[in-house]
Amino acid sequence: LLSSTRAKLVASFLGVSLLGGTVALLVGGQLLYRALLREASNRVSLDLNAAREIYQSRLRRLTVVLNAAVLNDALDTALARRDLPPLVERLERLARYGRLDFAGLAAADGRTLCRIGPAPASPLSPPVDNPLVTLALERRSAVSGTVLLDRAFLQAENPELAERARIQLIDTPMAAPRRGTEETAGMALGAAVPLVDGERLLGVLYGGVLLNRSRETVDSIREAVFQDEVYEGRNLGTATLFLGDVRIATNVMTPAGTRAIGTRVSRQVGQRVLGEGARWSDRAFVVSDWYITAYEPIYDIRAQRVGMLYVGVLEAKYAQVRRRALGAFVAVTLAGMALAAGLGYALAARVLRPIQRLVQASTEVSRGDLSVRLEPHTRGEIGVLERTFADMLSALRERERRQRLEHELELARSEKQASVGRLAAGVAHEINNPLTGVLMFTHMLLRREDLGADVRADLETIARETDRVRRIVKGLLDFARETPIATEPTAVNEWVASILALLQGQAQARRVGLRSSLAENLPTVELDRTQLQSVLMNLLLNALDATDPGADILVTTELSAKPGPAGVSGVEIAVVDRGRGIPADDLARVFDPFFTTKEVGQGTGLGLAVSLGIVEKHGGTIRAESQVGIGSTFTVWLPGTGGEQPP
Amino acid sequence: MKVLIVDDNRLILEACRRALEPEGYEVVTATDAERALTMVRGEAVGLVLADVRMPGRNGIWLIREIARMRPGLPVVAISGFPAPEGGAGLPLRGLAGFLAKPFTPTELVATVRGVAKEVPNATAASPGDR
Repeated sequence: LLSSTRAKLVASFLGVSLLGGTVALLVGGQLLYRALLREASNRVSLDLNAAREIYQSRLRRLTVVLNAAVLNDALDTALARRDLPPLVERLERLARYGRLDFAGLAAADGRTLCRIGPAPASPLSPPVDNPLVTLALERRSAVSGTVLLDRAFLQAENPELAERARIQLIDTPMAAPRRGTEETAGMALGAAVPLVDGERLLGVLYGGVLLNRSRETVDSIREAVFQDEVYEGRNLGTATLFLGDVRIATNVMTPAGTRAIGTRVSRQVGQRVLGEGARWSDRAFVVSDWYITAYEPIYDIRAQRVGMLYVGVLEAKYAQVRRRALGAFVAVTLAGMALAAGLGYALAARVLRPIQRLVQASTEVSRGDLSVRLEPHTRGEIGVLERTFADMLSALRERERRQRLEHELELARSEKQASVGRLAAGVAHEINNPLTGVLMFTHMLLRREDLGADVRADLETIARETDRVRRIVKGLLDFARETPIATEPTAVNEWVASILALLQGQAQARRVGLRSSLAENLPTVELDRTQLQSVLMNLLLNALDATDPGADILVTTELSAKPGPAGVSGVEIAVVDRGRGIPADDLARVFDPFFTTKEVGQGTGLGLAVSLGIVEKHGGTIRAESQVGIGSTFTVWLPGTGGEQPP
Repeated sequence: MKVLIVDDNRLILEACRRALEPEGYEVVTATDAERALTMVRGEAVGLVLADVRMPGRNGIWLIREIARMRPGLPVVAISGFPAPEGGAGLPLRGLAGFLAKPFTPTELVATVRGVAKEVPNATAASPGDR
């Protein structure tokens, strides 16, 4: 009972905690993760501002360098004189100092006069479009910013730059489709400053840094913003410069471990940032992994969207945080379940202990142990049950106590009877011998003819009283007899006849006929001949006492089924007299001990009680039928053992 | 007819003799079983009345011995204990009757007479008769 109920209780506790834990896991985990992502996204967004600042500072340095150069009068003079070699030398110094990839001087008409690098400007070389100079001339002021440089310009400036700018496109998952296999244009930070002498425009100084394949900008962003943090062997934070949708400078790595130059932005981001000019601040698929990213468009000197600036951190790191959080949730849930199981177990024990006690108590009671103590400590229904059970127990105990008391009385009585009986048996033999003498001599004296009437009367009194003593002793002896039966298979008719023969003399003395009617084919009966002999003799002697001289006593045997359990066959031995009969009131009590109808001293009232005891020990019965004035029939029924006795 | 009465109590023996002799029986007595058996062997006893409880060999032993030695010689058991104590272990073979102490002369004579009547003369005849 306890274990099954406890299992159910523990199971339901587990179910509840599992459900709660799972819901908490799903809802809480998801909410937490979203918050985490939002937080990360915000941070990356801020990181993008920092990145832009770094990009802009690079541009500012470039601008400062060129403007400072213009302030030098020597440059004006040399330009005015078209004294080119010193100009080139100056430009080269400037480029070294300002770490410029390209630098040159253009005339007021836009033609390049001179430049650094291996290809000196020549009046014969075809003119190339210089977007920086063109804009500066247009505006007649200094310009700076991001600028797209075509291949021709780069080729003219320095073939190495053209080569550096050329980028093979790499197929990228999730990118928008695009024609062509390479990007030849370069994206650069550049500035152009007009050289003015009073109102006269002398030329334009220009210079810049090619961003294609440049590591400086993106790596300084990574360094400054992400402190070169590494996650699982990869850089956690990444930065990229896009020309259009192509990565031209990046520290995002391909799975092969090279910089992912030539790969392209995912279609979704490209559309949003390049197409609509909006910022992107969300998770995005970058080259081969998911990143938490921020993109913003890069505008060139003519305010055209030409590229994008990107920063992003690996989402895997946050996924790891999420996994850890989920792990913690699971651990908490499991701990909760363990706690619930423990709690359920303990609670079950607590709730079921009283029931268990009741079950135990009833088991003990059913084994017959009524000494169970059951203190009701529980409130509620179980308490009521306990109290009811305790009441029942005390009622049972009371009943048992009464029964035991009765048994003890019974035992005391029978012990008393037994000791009285042993005493009587011892005394009886000693009494019977002298009594025989008294009886014999008294009767013999009574036969004498010469006795006076008064002497005869006295002798008759002696004879009568002696006879009474005889009966008392006999009753005591009968009562004393309480021996276990020792049965042996007995042929009933033969046995009955032998007993009748023993009493024939006494019957004749009273002038009572002793007749018998014995049925044939009776089964053999298991009986204690000794004890049943006294029963039959007792019945016969009672019949003799009840029968007047001249009448007959009939003893019959017959096959009979017991009036009770059907089918059990047995033998009935009946003693029928035509005596005085027994009134109905007395008939009901003839088998009670110490009941007698005989006058005081004539009987002990034990004969039939003892007889009944003996017969019952054989599994038989005695019944008495009687009508006053007609006679009595005492019938002994004994169970048969089957074997038929030969006729 | 010669009746042998066996009892350790001489009062009983005397009373029985006094009751039976007027009825025409010749009475011999013995106070123990072994002496009784000797008399059964030596005299033409036609009937034996034997007390069951006696010191030494008891009446049961006597009845058995008589049944073995003189089958057909009727023996009536006498006992101060009415049945079953008196009859306990009584060998029914050879036992012709039972007389519970105390008894009256009338009961004694009736019993003896009843038993004697059933005994055929041939079997009642003792070796001494021949």
